[in-house]
Amino acid sequence: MTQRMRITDIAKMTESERTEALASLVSKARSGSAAARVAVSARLRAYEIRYEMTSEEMLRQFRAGQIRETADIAKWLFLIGARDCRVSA
Amino acid sequence: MLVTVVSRHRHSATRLSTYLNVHQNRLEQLLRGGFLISADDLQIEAGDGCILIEGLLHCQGGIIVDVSKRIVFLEDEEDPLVQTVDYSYCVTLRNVGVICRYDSPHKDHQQDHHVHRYDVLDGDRDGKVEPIYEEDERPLLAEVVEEAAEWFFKNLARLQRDGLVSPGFPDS
Repeated sequence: MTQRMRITDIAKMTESERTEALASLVSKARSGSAAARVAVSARLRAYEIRYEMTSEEMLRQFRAGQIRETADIAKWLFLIGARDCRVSA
Repeated sequence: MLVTVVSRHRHSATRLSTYLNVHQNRLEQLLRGGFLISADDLQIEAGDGCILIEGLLHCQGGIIVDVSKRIVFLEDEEDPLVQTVDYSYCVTLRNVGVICRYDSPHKDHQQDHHVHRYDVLDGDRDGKVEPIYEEDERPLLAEVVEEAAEWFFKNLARLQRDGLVSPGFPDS
């Protein structure tokens, strides 16, 4: 499963709990879990279904100026960045 | 004598622990200020090679700040230097529309940091895009919430007249 925490919960942790939680978060992000990839893919898929186009097609149309940069599109672009993080790093 | 001056900008790389401390302190200040009602939906998550911070900040009058941030590691330490590489802060008036949205640069389109501003109370759905060239003009998340508060109180009379917020307006 992906590791996710509320920011406000981190604030309530003791120093040692916090250090441990952040170390675990960093470790999981570095190693990259299948769950993290699946979670982002599922969210991308939801946009693809709603807009009836692949993420790649959205990117093509966006770059060609054929799609307006709405809040939804901004979120979609963000998720593509999250998917491709390791590739573009 | 040789003096090395290290330039520290507000968006410079910083340790993850420091980054989160600053984030939490600013959120707590905003919560104490009263305009921000809840930050409980804001979450930090391990991505695939990055860290994602996402969620909603719930403010007075039905204003919501939708936060998306992607942070990458610059080194292999346990508490690494990190840098935000993508962000989107979308300020929405619930059931009405987007007030403004700050976005990081996109590849091939809007290649500068930029903000979209909408005349939301007059039905504006297209908005205007303003590039942000200076690092100091790129807001921190807390400053986006402060800007939302400024917008809200500036437009409060109109919002009440149009029935978009209740007279008490806590969460409308």
